[in-house]
Amino acid sequence: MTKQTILSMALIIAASSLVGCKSHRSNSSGRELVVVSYPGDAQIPYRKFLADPFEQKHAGTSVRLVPSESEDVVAQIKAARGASPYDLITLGVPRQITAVEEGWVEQTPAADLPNLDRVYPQFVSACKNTGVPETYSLIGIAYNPDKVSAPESWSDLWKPEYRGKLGMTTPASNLGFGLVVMTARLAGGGEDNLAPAWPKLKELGPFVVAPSPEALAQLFERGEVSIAPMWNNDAAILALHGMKLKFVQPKPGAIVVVSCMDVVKNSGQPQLARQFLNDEISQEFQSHLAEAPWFFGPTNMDVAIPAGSSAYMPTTVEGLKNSVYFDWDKAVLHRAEATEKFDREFSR
Amino acid sequence: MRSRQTVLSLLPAVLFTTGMIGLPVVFLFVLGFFKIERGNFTAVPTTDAYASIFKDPFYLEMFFRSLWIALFVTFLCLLIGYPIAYLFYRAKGRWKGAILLIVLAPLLTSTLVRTFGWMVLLGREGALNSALLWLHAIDHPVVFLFTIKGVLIGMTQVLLPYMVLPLMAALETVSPVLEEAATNLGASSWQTFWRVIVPQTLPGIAGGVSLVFILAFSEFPVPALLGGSTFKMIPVYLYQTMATLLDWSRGAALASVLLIGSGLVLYLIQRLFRGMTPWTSAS
Repeated sequence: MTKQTILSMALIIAASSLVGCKSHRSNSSGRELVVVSYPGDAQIPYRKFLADPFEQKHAGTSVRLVPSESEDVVAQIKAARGASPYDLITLGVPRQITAVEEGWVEQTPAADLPNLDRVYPQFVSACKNTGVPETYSLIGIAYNPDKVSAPESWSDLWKPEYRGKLGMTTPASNLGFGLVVMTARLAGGGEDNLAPAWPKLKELGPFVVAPSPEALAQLFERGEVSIAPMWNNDAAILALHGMKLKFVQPKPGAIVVVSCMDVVKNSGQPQLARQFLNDEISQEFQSHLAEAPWFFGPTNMDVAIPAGSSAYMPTTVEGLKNSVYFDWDKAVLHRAEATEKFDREFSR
Repeated sequence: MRSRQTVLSLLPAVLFTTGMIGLPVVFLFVLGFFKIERGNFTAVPTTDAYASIFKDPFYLEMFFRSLWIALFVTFLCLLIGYPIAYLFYRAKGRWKGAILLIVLAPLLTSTLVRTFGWMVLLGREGALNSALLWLHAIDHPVVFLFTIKGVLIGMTQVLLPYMVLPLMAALETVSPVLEEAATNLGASSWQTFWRVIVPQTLPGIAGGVSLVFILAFSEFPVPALLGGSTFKMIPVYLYQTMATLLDWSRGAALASVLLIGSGLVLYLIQRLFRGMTPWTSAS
């Protein structure tokens, strides 16, 4: 083989791989729904009880679940002009508000979502009547019972016994932002006044800042932290796997954060995507979500909370009502600012 | 004919470098001069992003901190790397192979994997602290993780091969005749080392120092994992600005500052070494 032949072969391979990338989605023989879902094990029930049955029901359709942090995906959706690389996306309420405002998620017609009648109305409005409320999660406090005593309220985090043992995440995640808003409330501020939170958070130092909520688990495992605000389902899964971890819903209540699933505007399969949404809020799928080892808060009111999940979520309608709901419409306006402020205040 | 062939064979490399590196860098630099609001590009040029960096003491402090961390890591790599390369130079037979293997082995695993390894070793209940406690060298666990100590340890280990390899190559070119001449003229082994061997390896030192500095100045995974997501270094903050705050204008400006700063320091390093090695055109 001469040099020129090798060179031209290399060029052909390089060129064809580029073309291949571009036509990846449109070329596939069947229809494909690309769904941005949770990373890690939390994706399993979506695969098993939602995507697989959906594929069986709609022959020739494949569902691809993309595990991703929503920030990266949002950046990609915004960067892609025209056809969206994703059909459906999971967004926590703070981001849902921004997405609806920015108009890159679809206002799904209620006629396409018969199951929506059985969803808690406060969750439907939390999602700005766009998409569907797929689950809710709670921000509470997780602690290692071998190392520290149980906290009872949010303000207990400031107890001296927890100094140097506390972990948290930056406000880039809902978990971290939730703590900032809660701290602002405790310090006399609120959703539209986060300023009092900063000096109060400083009092919590020294603490470890994890890059993501998932990374908190490793910190607990390695003994770097013994107490941290944590998602209820993360705590439940870790405890189930044998980690020394207990979860409390601290007074005045754990923070409810609703997750919404939306059809992305410019989706290639809008009708199919809406059917997927309707299946997602069905009693059947929602019952699976609430079970161990997933521990998601169900949004369908016909679902009874299984006994094994009762330590991690309210079991009664009353209990759910008494949890803490932030005014995200206000809080969301301060989110970017809070993320930047946090970096500046606590960078080392 | 010959020159045409040369041009043709260089074409893919030139196209690749221009298309994949040159143009994106220019694009990045220009991006900093436009406002990108919520992912929408606005065509009105503005110097806001660059101004916000240069006017803000927070960024200035971060820039100089990144700079000194990179320079210190480079120094540590040279300090540890030179003896290793020298040992390789002096070693014979299978020992040479063994040393080369030890130097190259870390490159067989990715930086990310090695950094996770350091997280386990340096943890509060990690291997290092356990060993020190067991030896009664310390009373309480030393906090390595999420501090500058951990970042320096991790970065030095990760970047060490990039220092050792150019040094090894440079030492291989050292002429044994000069060494013999020095000994015959009555130089001690220390004098021979400092005044005959080290000057001959200056081009290798220049290469290693430049390589390690560039990599250290722009290193992301090690400071992000061992220093934590609030570790004050440009690459960590750059990621936050781009991926979390979605402020692409400022992110682009910050990346350009990092690139230009790194280029500038590299130029100074090259000049310094050129001044020290007038007999060779160290590049």
